[in-house]
Amino acid sequence: MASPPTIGARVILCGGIAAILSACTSDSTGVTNTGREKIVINVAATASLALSFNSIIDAFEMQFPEFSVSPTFAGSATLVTQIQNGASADVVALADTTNIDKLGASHHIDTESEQIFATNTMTIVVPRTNPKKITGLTDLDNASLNVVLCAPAQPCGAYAKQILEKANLRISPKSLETSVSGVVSKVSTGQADAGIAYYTDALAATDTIDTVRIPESQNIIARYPIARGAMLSAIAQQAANTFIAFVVGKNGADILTNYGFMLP
Amino acid sequence: MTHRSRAVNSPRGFSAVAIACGVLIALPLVALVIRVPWSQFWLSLSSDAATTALSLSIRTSLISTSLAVVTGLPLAWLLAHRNFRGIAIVRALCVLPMVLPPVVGGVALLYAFGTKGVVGSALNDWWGVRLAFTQTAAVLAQYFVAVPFFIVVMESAFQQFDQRLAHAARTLGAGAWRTLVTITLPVVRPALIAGIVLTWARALGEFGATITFAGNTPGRTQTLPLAIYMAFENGDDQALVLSFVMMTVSFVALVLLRQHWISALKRGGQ
Repeated sequence: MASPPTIGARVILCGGIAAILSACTSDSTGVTNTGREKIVINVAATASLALSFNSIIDAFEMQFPEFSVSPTFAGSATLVTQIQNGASADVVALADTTNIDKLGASHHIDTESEQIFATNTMTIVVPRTNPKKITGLTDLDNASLNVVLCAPAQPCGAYAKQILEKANLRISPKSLETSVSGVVSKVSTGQADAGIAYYTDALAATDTIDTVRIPESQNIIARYPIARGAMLSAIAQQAANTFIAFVVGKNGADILTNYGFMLP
Repeated sequence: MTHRSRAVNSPRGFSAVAIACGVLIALPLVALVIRVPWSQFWLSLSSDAATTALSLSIRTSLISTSLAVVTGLPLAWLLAHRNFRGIAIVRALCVLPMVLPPVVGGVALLYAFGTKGVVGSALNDWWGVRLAFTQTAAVLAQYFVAVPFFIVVMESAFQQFDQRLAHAARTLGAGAWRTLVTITLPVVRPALIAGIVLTWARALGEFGATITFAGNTPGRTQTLPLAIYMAFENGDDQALVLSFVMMTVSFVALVLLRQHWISALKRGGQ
């Protein structure tokens, strides 16, 4: 019994203390240099951009090896809260102007750099083979149907709300997801009978979900803004500009259209 | 030592209810194992996203556990040996994160250490230090939810510790530090190990406080549970593979340390 503390405990202790010291110094703010002296660009992008932005980031890092892009994907409203509470973002790309305006009002982005770089539309998503035979928006107005939407604070929720209001439909969703990925996964796993998601998300998940088109007259156009973070160092500003130029340039545009986005 | 006795008469119906309870716990876990796509197990596990999250999780959980040990030990000691007004409140506060929804912990941490937080605003204004949404925040979130486990286990271990041993050491001239290191800690070693493992397992599994206070950035704050959630949201089977890995690691740790924590709990319970 009375033997000294285990070696394991000692190793954990010593290793831990060393690691605390290194962790505390590593990731302070904004642009940092990693071991290979790469300039890190923190990109906060809305969840519906995850697939396309990962491709854009790969292409960007290939072309500009001096940069390393560190993305955070979440619902636009979530990202706004995170940034307003101190998350560092050199570039912000959201799914609606309402949310980026909040960052403009709180001086967390440089509004001069703000521009619309892509547009998107909404579609009804249903499990593969459309078991509930949904043909359009009016079919969603059915109390026995499990419909999932995004939370109204998120752009995908606000857009869905606009569409339903325009069609004079009142449906009570079974779940309000914090991002559009949640809507798609609830539908693709069969936990929901239908949802309203971006056209691009539906396109990316065609092997697990089917889509029911929302006609243009009933649809909205989601406008995606991109902007540079406010109060960046000169290096960070330049890095952010380079990334934004890549996204709005031909390389970015090609990738975005491949994923189903339209250009403004 | 053991109290297991066949002479004890179990109340009627206990076995059936006990089995139901065990099944309710085991069934979801078994269901998960059944659905793991074994053919792409290694592919999923060796993907960039998985290895990044895995190494981040190991790193942050070891740091937060060490922090919990270093800071929780003195607190547990004082709670066990001192009696002061309001000790009941301090005890309750120390255990609160165990029962609090972790997301509440995350929001609370944000209001403390975020740039608009009580301490965080000063840190940011004076030194330009931003804690929220960094790797340090992920460590803090894990620490916040996990340290109570260590405090609870160690406090009861210190309470059960036979003070005559310490007195003997003191009369032989050992100081308080030396007594602690050479007598007390070796005696409470089972509890120490149990506390460390429970704390580490809790830190490793931390999700709610992390995603609220540290965000979800791969390589920086996207720990394994967050990666699992993202993979699940994206309908990726990787979620199953990573869940299986987490489950196995925690399970193996608990089984290996069974003796330690059983005897630690016994000490606490008697």
